[in-house]
Amino acid sequence: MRAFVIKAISILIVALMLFMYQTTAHSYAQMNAAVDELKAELTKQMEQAEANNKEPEYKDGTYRGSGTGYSGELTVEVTVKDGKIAAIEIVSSKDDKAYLELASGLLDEIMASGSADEVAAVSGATLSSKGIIEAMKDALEEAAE
Amino acid sequence: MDKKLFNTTKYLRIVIQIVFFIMMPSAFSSAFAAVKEAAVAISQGGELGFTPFAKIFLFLLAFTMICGRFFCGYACAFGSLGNWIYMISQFIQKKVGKKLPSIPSRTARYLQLIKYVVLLAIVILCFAGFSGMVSESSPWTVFSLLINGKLPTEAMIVGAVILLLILVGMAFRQRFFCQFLCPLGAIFSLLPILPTGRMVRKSEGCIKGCNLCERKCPMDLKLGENEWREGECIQCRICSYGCPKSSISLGMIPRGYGDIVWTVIEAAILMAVLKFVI
Ligand code: SF4
Ligand code: SF4
Ligand code: SF4
Repeated sequence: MRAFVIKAISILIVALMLFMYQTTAHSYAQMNAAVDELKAELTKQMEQAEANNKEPEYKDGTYRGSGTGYSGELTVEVTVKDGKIAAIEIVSSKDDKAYLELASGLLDEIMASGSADEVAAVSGATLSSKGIIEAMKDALEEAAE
Repeated sequence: MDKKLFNTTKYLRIVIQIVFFIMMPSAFSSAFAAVKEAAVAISQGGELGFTPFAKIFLFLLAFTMICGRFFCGYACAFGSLGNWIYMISQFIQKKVGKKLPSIPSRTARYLQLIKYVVLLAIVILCFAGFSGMVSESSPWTVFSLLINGKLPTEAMIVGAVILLLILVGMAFRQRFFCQFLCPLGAIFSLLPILPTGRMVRKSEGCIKGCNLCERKCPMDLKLGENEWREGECIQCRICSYGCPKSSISLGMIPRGYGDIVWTVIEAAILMAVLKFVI
């Protein structure tokens, strides 16, 4: 009987210790998982920011590109200086001036970001915007070669 | 001693052992893997997983606390192997007419402590990051490869040599490994075993000079002598069926055919849970 009681108490102590270990390890693992998640999020954001900041390398020169606007072909001319977009001009378009003016806000955006990939069309002048974006992509593609 | 009862139980035991040997030859190493797994997890500060190994291990612990080391006596493939090799060895000894030297009971009792050292060593090695080495040099790994019809690799040479030595030891003494070396047996023998899983001996009626139960016991137990050592009992019931005065029985189960039915039930529970639940 004595041996039984002592063995029973010992095994309870061992079980309790393992249980305490397990609870600690569990909360520790959960904390670690949360930290990992945050880290992953941060890296993702940093990578994105880096990608946004990186200016695509363009060769200096003047390039033309075309796209389809509201009522037909639309041509832009891009001037690249020191690898960066220095000026953009809409050379020819059949679209209404009003629409073009509305959409030309895009030009500043493109100049700032250095690419036409992530700009959104201006609402109210969607088709002209699309034409400009298309033409810019066309021109920058050439500049990137 | 009821000869018929004695023989019935003897063959019943062999049948149960064969069935378990075929159906789950690696239950013992799976159960012990849980201990190694836990040591490794703790050394890395990780969580203890509720893996299949852990399930088998915990179930066997619970089962053993209630039914005694029935698993060791009837279901463990390595224990059965020890029985069979000893049987063959005895048969040959009889045929040849020579007897192998036997280890005296007193010495055996001291040697039984080796298994705790083995257990401790394995846990420490796993904790220190040598679990791969432990598995490779384990005789159990070699044994499971062999019974699955595969040859051990060169890296397992240590394990193979140890296994060979154990097999030789089994020829000298029944349950050589279980008594002296098994780390899982070491854990089992430390468990508090409820009265339902203990052999009880009424020594008042003993024949003077009879120590048959002690001589026949594969674990060198003298029932009723020292409670601390009773964790060594593997529930084989040889003492119970062999006693000329019928004064040994298992827990609350009446000795005789009631006990035979209980044996079959225990085996069925063990088989069902290990095979189908876990
Ligand atoms: S002591 Fe170890 S090897 Fe022997 S029967 Fe029990 S678990 Fe199996
Ligand atoms: S002979 Fe008796 S005491 Fe010895 S292991 Fe078997 S059941 Fe236990
Ligand atoms: S075998 Fe039976 S009678 Fe003989 S010593 Fe053991 S308990 Fe007593």
